[in-house]
Amino acid sequence: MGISRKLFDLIPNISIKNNDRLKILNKAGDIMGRPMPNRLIMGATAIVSQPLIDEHNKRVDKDTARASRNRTIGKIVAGTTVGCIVRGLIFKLINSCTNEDISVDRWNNLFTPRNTSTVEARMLPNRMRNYRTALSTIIAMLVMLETNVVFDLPLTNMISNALNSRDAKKRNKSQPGANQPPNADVKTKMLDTFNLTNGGKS
Amino acid sequence: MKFPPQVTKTADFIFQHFSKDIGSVLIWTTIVGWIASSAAQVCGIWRNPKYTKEQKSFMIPQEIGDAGVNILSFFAITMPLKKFANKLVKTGKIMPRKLMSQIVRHGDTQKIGSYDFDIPNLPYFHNSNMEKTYNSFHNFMSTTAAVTGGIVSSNIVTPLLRNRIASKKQNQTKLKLDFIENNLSNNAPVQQTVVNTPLSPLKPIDNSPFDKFKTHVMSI
Repeated sequence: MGISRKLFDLIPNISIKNNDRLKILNKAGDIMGRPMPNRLIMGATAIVSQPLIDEHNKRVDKDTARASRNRTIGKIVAGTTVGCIVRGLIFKLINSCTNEDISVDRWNNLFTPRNTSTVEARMLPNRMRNYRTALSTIIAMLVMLETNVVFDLPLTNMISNALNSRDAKKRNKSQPGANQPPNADVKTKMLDTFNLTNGGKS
Repeated sequence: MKFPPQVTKTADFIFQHFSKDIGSVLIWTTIVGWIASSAAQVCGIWRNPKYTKEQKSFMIPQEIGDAGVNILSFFAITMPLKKFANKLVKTGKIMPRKLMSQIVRHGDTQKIGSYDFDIPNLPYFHNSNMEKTYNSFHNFMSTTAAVTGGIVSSNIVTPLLRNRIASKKQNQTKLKLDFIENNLSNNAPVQQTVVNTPLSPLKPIDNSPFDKFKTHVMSI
C-alpha cells in the first residue's frame, strides 16, 4: 500500500448536509470560474501580499525595494483593471454570440459551434459552458497580448512613477539629502549632508 | 447573413477539443499571458528613464523571474492542489449529502472515500440526477483549489523566489559592471605611461627558455 494511499485514508469523510449551503458553494464555484471575477480575486489578493513582500526585501537597498514595490503596485492595479475589463467584455460578447438556435446565421450565433449534435443532449449545457469559458479565455489572451503593451505598460509606468515621486517628496521632507541621484559626486553629497547647498542657511 | 467558414470551423474545433475539459486551455493561455506580460514589463522598465542603473539591474531580472517562477510554481503548487481536490470529490471524501444518499441506496456505502472509488465511473451515475449534483460540486472544489493554489503560488511563493533570484542577478551584474569600470580606469593611466615612456633598445634575453636549444644547435 503506497504512502499516498495511507495518507489519503487518514482524511475523514465529509458530507455537506445543508442544501442551502451547497447552493451557495455551487454558485461561488460558478462565479469564481468566470474569467473576470477570477482575475479580480487574484488581483485583490496580489495587492495585499506582493507589495509587502517587495518592500521588506532585505536583499536590496531601501530605494530599490521601494521602487520595486511601487512598480508591483502599478503592475497589479493596471493588470487587474485592464484584465477585468477585457475579460468581462469578451465573456459577455461570447455569451451573447453563442445562442443555441442555429437555424439561421445571425450575430447572436456567430460563435455557436455547428457540431453540437454529436453530443448527448443532457451533456450539452455543461459542454457549452466549458466551450464559452475556453473561447473567451483564448480570445482574451489574444487581445491581452495587445493591451499589455497598449494599456498595461503606460498605466504601470504612470502609477509607479507617481508613487516614486511621492516617495521622493516624503524622503525630501524627512531627510533633505535622501533624494540625491545615486551617482551624485562626493562634494554634492557632503554639502547636502551638512545642509550647505543653499549657502549654509538652514 | 452568411458567416465566413473560418469562424465556424474555429468554433467547431474549440468545441470538439476543449469543451470536455478546459484545463489545458486555461493552463496554456495563463502561461502565454504571463510570458507576454513579463516581456512587456521588461521593455517598460528598460525604457523608463526614471529608474537608475542599479534599480534596473534588479527589476529586469525580477520581471523575468516573475514569469519563470510563476510557471514553475503553478505546476508545483496549483496543479497538484487541483488534482488533490478532484481526487477528494471523485472518491467521495467530500460530497453533498444528496449524492451520498444515492450511492448508499445502490449499496456502495463501503466504497465511499476509499482511494480507488470513482464516482463518475459508477454504472448508475448517468441515469440519475447524480451527474448534475456531482458536476456542480466538482466545479466548486476544482475552482476553489485552483484559486487557492493560484493565490499561494502567484502571490506568495513567486514574489519571494523572484526577489531572491533578482538580487542574485543584480549582484552578478554589479560585479560585472565593477569589473568593467575597474578595467577601464586601470587602462587609462597604463596607456599614458606607454606613450610617455621612451622605447628601450632591444637587449638579448639572458635566461631564455630556448637557450638549451641554442646550445644544442651550437653543438651540431
